Amino acid sequence: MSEINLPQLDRRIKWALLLTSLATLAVLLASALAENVFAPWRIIRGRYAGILAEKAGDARGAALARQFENRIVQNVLPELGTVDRCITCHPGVDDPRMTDQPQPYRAHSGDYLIHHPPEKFGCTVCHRGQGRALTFEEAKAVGHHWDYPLLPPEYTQSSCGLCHTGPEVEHRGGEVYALGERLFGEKGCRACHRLSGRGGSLGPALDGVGMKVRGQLPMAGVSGEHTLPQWLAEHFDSPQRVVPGSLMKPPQLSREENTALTVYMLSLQNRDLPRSYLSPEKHREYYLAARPAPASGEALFSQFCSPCHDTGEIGIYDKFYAAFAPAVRGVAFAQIASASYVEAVIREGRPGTAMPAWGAAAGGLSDAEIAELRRYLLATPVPQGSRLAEPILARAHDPNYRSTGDAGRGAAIFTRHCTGCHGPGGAGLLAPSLVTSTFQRHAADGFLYATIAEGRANTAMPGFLSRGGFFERDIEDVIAYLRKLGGQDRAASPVARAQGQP
Amino acid sequence: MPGRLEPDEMPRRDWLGLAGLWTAALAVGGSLVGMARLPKPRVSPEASSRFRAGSPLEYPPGTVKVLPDQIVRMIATEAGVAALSLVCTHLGCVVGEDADGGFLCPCHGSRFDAQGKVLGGPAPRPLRWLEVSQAADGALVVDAAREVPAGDFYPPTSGRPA
Repeated sequence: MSEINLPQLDRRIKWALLLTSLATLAVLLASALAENVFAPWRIIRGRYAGILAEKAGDARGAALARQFENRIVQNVLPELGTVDRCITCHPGVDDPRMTDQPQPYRAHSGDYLIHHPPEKFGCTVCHRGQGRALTFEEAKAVGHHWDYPLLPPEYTQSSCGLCHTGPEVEHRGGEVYALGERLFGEKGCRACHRLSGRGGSLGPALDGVGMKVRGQLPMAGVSGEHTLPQWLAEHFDSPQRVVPGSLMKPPQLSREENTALTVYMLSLQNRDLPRSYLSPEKHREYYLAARPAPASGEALFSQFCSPCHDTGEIGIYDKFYAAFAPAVRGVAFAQIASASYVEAVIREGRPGTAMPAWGAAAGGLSDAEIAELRRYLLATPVPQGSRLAEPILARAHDPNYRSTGDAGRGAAIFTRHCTGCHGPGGAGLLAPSLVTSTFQRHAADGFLYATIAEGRANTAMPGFLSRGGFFERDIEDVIAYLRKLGGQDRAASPVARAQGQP
Repeated sequence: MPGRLEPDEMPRRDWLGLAGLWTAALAVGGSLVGMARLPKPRVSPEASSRFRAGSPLEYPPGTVKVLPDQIVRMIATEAGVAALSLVCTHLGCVVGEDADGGFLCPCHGSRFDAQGKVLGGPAPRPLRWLEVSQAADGALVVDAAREVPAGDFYPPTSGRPA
């Protein structure tokens, strides 16, 4: 070659230039190929084009094969805030001919897509995961950067509950969700957990629990994948293993029930979906949640009270809480408790015990419902043999009766006879606390007298007057001591004493 | 003069220099092409222009049905099904039907006949006829981004494709 007017470059610089340029070209070529030829979605769609051509038996099939393009397709749904490109690699979801194909080409199971066309619903609103992804690994949205990973198939029905009620979908592809919703009522979960403003306060409220992200949950005790569904499922199996020190009784669920209840929990999402997506039944459910239809006392009792009080007819010793739940429908209680006392305890609960407050501001029960519940409790039939003596009943319901006993003597009697169950100072041990403000304020002296004298049939509380060897004087002293525990020192208050003896 | 004892190194040195420069130029050019592609993404999150218009069974010959959400009038005749866009070609108002079966734009008074042909007013083009096809499950699909000649009816086949 002839002389070229180039500067005298060092040989090594020229080599370096050549090699780095070649390397750059190689990278450029590789990325161009990766993007335009070997992208996973291109390969998948290329294969699907082959399947379409194979299946093109008639003019329609041929037209579908002809129209098929190897490009990214998506469903953009501003109303739901989703961009779902899943159909790029699952192009056969709405093609009934593809039921025999392997994934990702297979048609969607069931008739879900007939009622939920992907153009209107997309995919991630039900399946979660990352809709914009173009590879399966990324679509699964696994790992701590992603809040809502792809739901395992057994939990997908949780999404039914966003727009439907259980009874509505029970025989239309939402069996698991329907079972979960039913179990939530039957197991009495609301006795401890509030949902839509109704329920106890021993456990956390469950509104929006289906949208919790992994960072909000203690994952140390979870042996499986660190995801919300897994957390819920393991938590139902053993609450204390997943949440050390949890007060929740293991709910004793079968495998199917565990899955169903997990599905129901996942459905509690509090998402602001467009109202037009909700079924009329779901609208009704929301309406009724805000304005509950009048329920019978029995229904209220089974939903809110029975997990602890069972039928309420006998005093239940709860091994889990190591305490007695009082027999609130016991024959003795029904005879001596006044309506105002029962309603007050339901409304205010017993602070410091497992009994939560159920008034409108706390547990969400209206005054009418509390009255209904009280009627149910006090309507317990009393067999002839269990009727208390007339003088005792009269005293129990005498609003003017006040004990005039000696608190000091009462303390000694209480320590000897009562602390075994009620705890030192009446603070509650196996038997309920006697110093809670609700109890002190609303339990009349007559009620206490009748309880101590006759005991509570079908519970661990014995009668002290008839069989326990107490004299009436002893009972009055104990009552005076109880009042002193509650902060009313009757002995130091001549006014109160004067009032007590009209 | 080059000889056996003093071979001329120049040609080889030149080849190296030229090759280096050319590959560098190619690499820079290739990178520029790649960068030039960046402003135009392969797909952007925009709503699809295709929508389902329901089963062909909903469109027996003689049916005329307006889909208000998509601003399209579905027309079914013996020849098949067609989709006529009701967006005025002037400034994009939604045209209304007038008394004699045509359309009238409420914004600037453009008038169209029942086939969408312009009868008067400022509209520069007739109303658009949109492409109709069928999805794999048999539903009619209208693509608002694809126009077909006026009077082009799509003959749907019922049932699933074989």
